[in-house]
Amino acid sequence: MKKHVSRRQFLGGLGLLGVAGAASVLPAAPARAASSRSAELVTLLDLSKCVGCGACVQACKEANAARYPEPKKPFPPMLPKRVKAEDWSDQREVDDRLTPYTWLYVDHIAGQHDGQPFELHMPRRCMHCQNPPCANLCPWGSCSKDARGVVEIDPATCLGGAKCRDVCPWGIPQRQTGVGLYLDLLPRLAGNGVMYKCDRCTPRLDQGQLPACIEACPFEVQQIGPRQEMEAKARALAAEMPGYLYGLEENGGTNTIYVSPVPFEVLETARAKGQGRPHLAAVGDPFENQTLLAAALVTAPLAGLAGAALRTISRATREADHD
Amino acid sequence: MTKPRSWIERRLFALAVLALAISGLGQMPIFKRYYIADLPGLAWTADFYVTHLIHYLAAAVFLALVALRVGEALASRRVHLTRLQWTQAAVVAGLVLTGFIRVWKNLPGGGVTKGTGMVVDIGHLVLAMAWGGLALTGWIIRRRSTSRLAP
Ligand code: SF4
Ligand code: SF4
Ligand code: SF4
Repeated sequence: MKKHVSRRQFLGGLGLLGVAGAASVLPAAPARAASSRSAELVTLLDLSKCVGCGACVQACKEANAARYPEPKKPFPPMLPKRVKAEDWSDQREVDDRLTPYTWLYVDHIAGQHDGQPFELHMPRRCMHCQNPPCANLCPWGSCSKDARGVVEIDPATCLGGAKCRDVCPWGIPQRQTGVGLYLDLLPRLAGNGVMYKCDRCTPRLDQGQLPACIEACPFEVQQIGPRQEMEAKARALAAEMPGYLYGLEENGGTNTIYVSPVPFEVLETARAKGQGRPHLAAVGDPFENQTLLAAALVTAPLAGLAGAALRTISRATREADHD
Repeated sequence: MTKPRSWIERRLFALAVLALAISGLGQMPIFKRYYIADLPGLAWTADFYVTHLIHYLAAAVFLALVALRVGEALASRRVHLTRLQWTQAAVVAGLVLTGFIRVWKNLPGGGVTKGTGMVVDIGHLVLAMAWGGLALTGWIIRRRSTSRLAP
């Protein structure tokens, strides 16, 4: 079945097919295979439907609680002094920003558009970029993207250096100190915990289940399905609303598309800013230059070989002239 | 190698290797932590996108010069390498291979599996450190033999 699935359809599908058949409800994609664009799943969020009830946030917390960090305290001291511990383990209930214990929050945005007041609710979490800088630039390969378009951080190997957060244009991954591999290496000198973020409920996806937030939403704000189909749906929805799109082109393209009746520039101005609260500004392709340079990297050795050939020929000619 | 390399070529090679080493180290989140980026004029060392781009540029120069040397050596049909040099050549080959896989991963249509990604990333780092170690060994051996030859 290659259709997108809403919560109701999904539950209906479960009833009909039984749990074993549920895997076929989500488009089959080799779970851990390398990325191939056509198999990627996209989530589409219709913001005109979201009432900001927070059921998705609650469902995320319940579904993923077993994977939350349980740090050992006191934390080992870190050098140099400027390296600060980031500890959210005593503030697990925070739900107005992203933390290692809050992989999804709802941004409540109120303002004026076209002379009319508006109030809009926007679930925020990792965008699951198509060419994710967090995964591309992770020095240890701890952050990766799979064929379903899921970008995940492996808590067993992440050292918590937070490079993923630095290179993510939205600063999504959040650090918890006092957990992870760094404790077994050089806890004073390198690393600072583990980074956490939405991984589209990978354990649930692996079993053919929907991500918890999609399933829990009473208003079917989110849909998930193959890229091409979701893109077409997003455009159709935007035309019908009429609305605006965010996520389709951002950061080189993401697998999360928001459709909003209010322009995102207006939402960006109106939203409450702060750490752990991703922005809504336009984001260009961060690897534009690298993509251009990749061609130079392929040509460089050829140029070198051509140079060698020219040198050898001119040397041979010189020697022949001498003789 | 039939002829000593020109001054400019040697300098360019050394510069490319230095830029690769610094921008490569800069891929780990250490320059900010250890105050390097606080030094005047070195703030860029903590910008991962800048060091990443420098790594690409330096790699292009490095690849061209390595290919030039390899091409000339093959054309002269006289490849006399010591065991240390063979090891260095193998390590550089590994660095180039893992480097290209990383470039592929960063392309909009590219990508590797989680396992491959980890092997390649850590492999690139280990090989870079191994090359540094081998270069140091080579330098020490050369110094010893020159001091032995000196009157
Ligand atoms: S997405 Fe659904 S569950 Fe989440 S806040 Fe909006 S309406 Fe509630
Ligand atoms: S939104 Fe940030 S954390 Fe998520 S995939 Fe994109 S770059 Fe990575
Ligand atoms: S997909 Fe899963 S991990 Fe991600 S926000 Fe939804 S419930 Fe949380």
